[in-house]
Amino acid sequence: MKNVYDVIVIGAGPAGMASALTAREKGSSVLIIEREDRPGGILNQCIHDGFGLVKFNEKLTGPEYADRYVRWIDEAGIEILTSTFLLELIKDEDEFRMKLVSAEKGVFSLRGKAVVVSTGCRERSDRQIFIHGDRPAGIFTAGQAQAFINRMGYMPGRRAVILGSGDIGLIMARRLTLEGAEVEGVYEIQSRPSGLQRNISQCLNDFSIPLHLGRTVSRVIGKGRIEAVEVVSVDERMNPVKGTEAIVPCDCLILSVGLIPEIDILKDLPVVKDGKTGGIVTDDRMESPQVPGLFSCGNAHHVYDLVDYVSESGEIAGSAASEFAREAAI
Amino acid sequence: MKNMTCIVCPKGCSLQIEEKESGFEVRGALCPRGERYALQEMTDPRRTLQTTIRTAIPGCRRAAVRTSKEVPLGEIFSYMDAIKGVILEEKKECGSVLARGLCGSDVDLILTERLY
Amino acid sequence: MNKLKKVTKELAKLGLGGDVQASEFRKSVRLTGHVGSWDEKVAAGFAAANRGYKGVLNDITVEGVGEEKIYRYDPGDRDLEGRYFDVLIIGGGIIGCATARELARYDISIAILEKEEDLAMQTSSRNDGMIHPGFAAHPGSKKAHYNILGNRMYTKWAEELGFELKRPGSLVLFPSRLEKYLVPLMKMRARKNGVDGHYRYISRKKVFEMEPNVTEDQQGAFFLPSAGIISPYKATIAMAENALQNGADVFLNCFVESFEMDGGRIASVRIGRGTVKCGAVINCAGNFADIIAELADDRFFSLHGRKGTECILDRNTGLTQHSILSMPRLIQRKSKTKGGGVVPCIEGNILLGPTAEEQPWREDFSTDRGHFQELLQKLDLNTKLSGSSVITYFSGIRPASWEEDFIIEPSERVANLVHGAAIQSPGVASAPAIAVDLAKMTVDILSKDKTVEEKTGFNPRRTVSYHQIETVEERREMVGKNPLYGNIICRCETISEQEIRDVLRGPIPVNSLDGVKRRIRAGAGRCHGGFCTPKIMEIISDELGIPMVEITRKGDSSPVLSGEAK
Ligand SMILES: Cc1cc2nc3c(=O)[nH]c(=O)nc-3n(C[C@H](O)[C@H](O)[C@H](O)COP(=O)(O)OP(=O)(O)OC[C@H]3O[C@@H](n4cnc5c(N)ncnc54)[C@H](O)[C@@H]3O)c2cc1C
Ligand SMILES: Cc1cc2nc3c(=O)[nH]c(=O)nc-3n(C[C@H](O)[C@H](O)[C@H](O)COP(=O)(O)OP(=O)(O)OC[C@H]3O[C@@H](n4cnc5c(N)ncnc54)[C@H](O)[C@@H]3O)c2cc1C
Ligand code: SF4
Repeated sequence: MKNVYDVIVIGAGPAGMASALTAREKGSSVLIIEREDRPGGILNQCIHDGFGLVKFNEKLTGPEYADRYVRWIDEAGIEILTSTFLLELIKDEDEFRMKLVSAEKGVFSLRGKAVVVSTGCRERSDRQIFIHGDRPAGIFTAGQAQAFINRMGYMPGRRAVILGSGDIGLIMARRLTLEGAEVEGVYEIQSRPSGLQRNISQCLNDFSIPLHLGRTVSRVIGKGRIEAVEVVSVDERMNPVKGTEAIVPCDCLILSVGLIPEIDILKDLPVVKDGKTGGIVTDDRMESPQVPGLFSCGNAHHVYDLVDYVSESGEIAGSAASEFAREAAI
Repeated sequence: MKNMTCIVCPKGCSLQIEEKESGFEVRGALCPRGERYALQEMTDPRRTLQTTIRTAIPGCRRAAVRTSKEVPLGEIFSYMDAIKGVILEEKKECGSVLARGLCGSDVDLILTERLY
Repeated sequence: MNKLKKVTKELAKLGLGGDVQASEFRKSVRLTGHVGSWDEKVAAGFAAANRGYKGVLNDITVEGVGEEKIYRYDPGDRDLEGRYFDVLIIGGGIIGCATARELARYDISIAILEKEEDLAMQTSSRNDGMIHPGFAAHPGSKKAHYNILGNRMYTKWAEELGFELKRPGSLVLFPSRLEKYLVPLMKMRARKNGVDGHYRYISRKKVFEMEPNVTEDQQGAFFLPSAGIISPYKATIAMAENALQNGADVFLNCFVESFEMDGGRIASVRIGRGTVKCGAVINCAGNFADIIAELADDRFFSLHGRKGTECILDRNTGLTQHSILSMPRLIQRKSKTKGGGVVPCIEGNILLGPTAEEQPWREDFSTDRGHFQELLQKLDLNTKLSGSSVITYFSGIRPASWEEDFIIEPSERVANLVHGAAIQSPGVASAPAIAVDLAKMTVDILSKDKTVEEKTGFNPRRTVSYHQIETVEERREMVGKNPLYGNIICRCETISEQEIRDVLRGPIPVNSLDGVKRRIRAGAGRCHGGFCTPKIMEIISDELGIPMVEITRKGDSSPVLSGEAK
């Protein structure tokens, strides 16, 4: 391993891997940093199919889609540092400097001419959508429930209420049902579901799971472990309508209420946050106008609903980052 | 007439299916795959099943798998039971066949992840 | 009978003359009867307070308010059966733990009995963590006395026990010019109470120099530089750990259910895990202190739970403000914030709080929309804050007596019982001073039967066995010692596997997610454990040999998972 690279990619999800491949193809020296013990990002836990329909015209599962990219990364001889955590990222003159840590290497430094941020996103939690009532165990975000079931083989509950009709929530409704749990229903505060229609069809309708639109969870009940939720209808201004409350017994509440780009590592750089997407402002080459040489792609840029477009954004960022590094060298 | 959402691709076209004497007539599909899906759905709805199985590999409690073909929607839980009986004894390549002829059909079980 | 007539008259004034009866019980006044609302019961309680009685026993029943089921968990063993301790402290909140630490100076055996699965699970982890300057308390009250002393003592306690203390000072903001005329009165009160530091009036211009982000309409402020902040639960745990290191014991999951009395003394304390004999008992049971008094047939006060909701903002918000901001109590505009303020916490987050709501329950820590919305109005004081930075909210319950003052005294009826009760705000700020007195009173009791001497080996400094690594340099050093300090588990707070393992090996047993979170902030960041919860659970499982499905969020009744998948 060197300690200077043309392009350093942070995050080895589909966006990061695609950008690394493109930058490598264009002749740059590339290093990928990944904090998990393996590349693939969120795809590793998305064992359902529906990935790659646009790009490969195939119906792959998440891990299969990831596997394809990991093979290409191997073939291209691109280095990935897994189980490595970025502690600090600053720009010094015309170079990026970072401090990282891993159990294997301890604290160490790297320098890069260009940096691609492909750190994905995180889920909104119960506190961020202001759920009230008790604070028992048994409240999960959909992604967390997905990790428990798919990666670790544990059940978050046996009788679930799902709040929010995002795709991950819908997919988890099916997954829980297949694993023998009961799903009491999916509650969505808006008058229309936020997930794809095909997921309503194949995840809910196939298993007769009810979708309640214009209804939300108003209160959580249960001291130790969750025992029930109170649900209520809302008016056009999203205020609860008195008299429409109902108590739904359950032993877990799963939230699928939105994703937020994960860009905390950029806190020491003068990037501008895009109020709408939650990511940073970039030009159409995915570069930050405030921090030349800094590129952002995938869900760290804005939340995409299809991985195919995530990979595409990675290719754009990788290509531009490679060009930037080449110009910087001259 | 029956309405359904095509699940073949992310476009998710709304399909209308009408039973005519000559057979089913499908409207709303942007491509022929949608028509095929609708016909299949009217006669014998099928789905590819993805789930996990237990493994004997240290540090890896579950591995992701799918069926090699679509299986009848109505029998999905029988397939789940059959699949959950399979245990992955050792590391294999992503794409390996782990079991053949699930539930007496010609459907196989495929490993869908790279094991580390 | 003059006092009783007065109470009866006051009740009649409230229109409760027919429904509520007052009678005398020992040296206290007792209210009985039945009313339609909780507010009426509260009004009656206050009407009877400070009329010359030792306390108010408010036994009025309220329509629709039933019994509360109190949480208790018995692990099922009888390990404590027949054991003896010189002192049993009931309650592992900040008062109980501070007192244990003070008593650990003496050559006696001490045990804290706490009903929850960890220390500081109730009021002591559900507050602002403010070390008040001692200005707000009524001159001459116990609150004022202990607050001033406690505030002073914190500097030394923080240093010895190794918990963080900052003194950012508190700015009482003046929303109009009128308040400026109150400054002489404020100064007089501060002087009367004995507030430390150069408290003073601050001009509008100076306010904006100190706090560029406060809202424009502030016309000046009263500044109290001795106001401080700590993490109340870390401090509580640090006090207990130091007590432990000096020979005291902590027993968790020990619900005190009754006493065995013998000739006006408590002979032993009954808990699920056995009957424990004792020399003396200290009642530090927070919201349950009146129940404990009753168990010893020493009922002379009753508590009413005043709930307060608080809200915590993202960690980076702390950079927008230096001092604690609040509004003067006298002139708080009705619709606006009532009490409390905007507090830059020790960990860098901003805390808004608290609200104040009289309600019937002792441990109902639920939150509701109404009080949460009320809280968000406090955002108005700092222009850089917004609702989108909220990362969490919670509530606590103040154990208030009707006299609204602390009860710190030896029992008049039970020879070996001491009360540290009704410790509402500023209980955290007062804790070290309260502890000194409670310890003294207890030693006096023990001294009647034997000589109690100071220990020679007492070490006031806590041995710190775990902590959160804050800087890159420190991390470099620690990874050099153990590579697992380089395996980062909690992303938002940058906490490694070994930091978590250190917590699990700490002096007081920890085996839940919240227990870990209370000691180092693993899982307490923006993502709320979204990513790291499964990993922290795996570490707990591995380190302590607990199966994953048995790991809890906060003790026995709160398993995280419901079992294995197929
Ligand atoms: C549950 C779920 C279901 C989905 N289902 C579908 C579907 O059916 N079809 C479809 O097309 N799309 C689907 N998507 C969308 C698509 O999979 C994602 O948008 C895509 O995987 C995001 O890729 P990414 O590379 O941007 O982020 P991620 O896959 O999240 O990768 C980010 C990587 O960055 C790493 N990282 C983050 N911060 C750091 C740091 N500081 N240092 C080092 N490494 C870091 C992370 O560990 C992670 O590996 C789904 C998404 C989710 C979450
Ligand atoms: C919202 C809010 C904000 C506040 N802000 C501040 C502030 O900024 N500064 C300040 O100085 N003060 C503040 N306070 C007050 C302060 O929190 C309390 O005064 C202090 O925590 C009381 O400590 P304690 O040890 O008496 O009670 P607790 O912490 O409640 O401890 C009592 C313990 O006894 C245990 N117990 C009860 N019954 C039994 C039994 N039968 N057997 C065994 N164990 C039992 C309980 O489980 C509990 O752990 C605030 C209070 C609230 C509610
Ligand atoms: S009909 Fe064709 S285009 Fe439309 S959803 Fe189906 S496969 Fe996609």
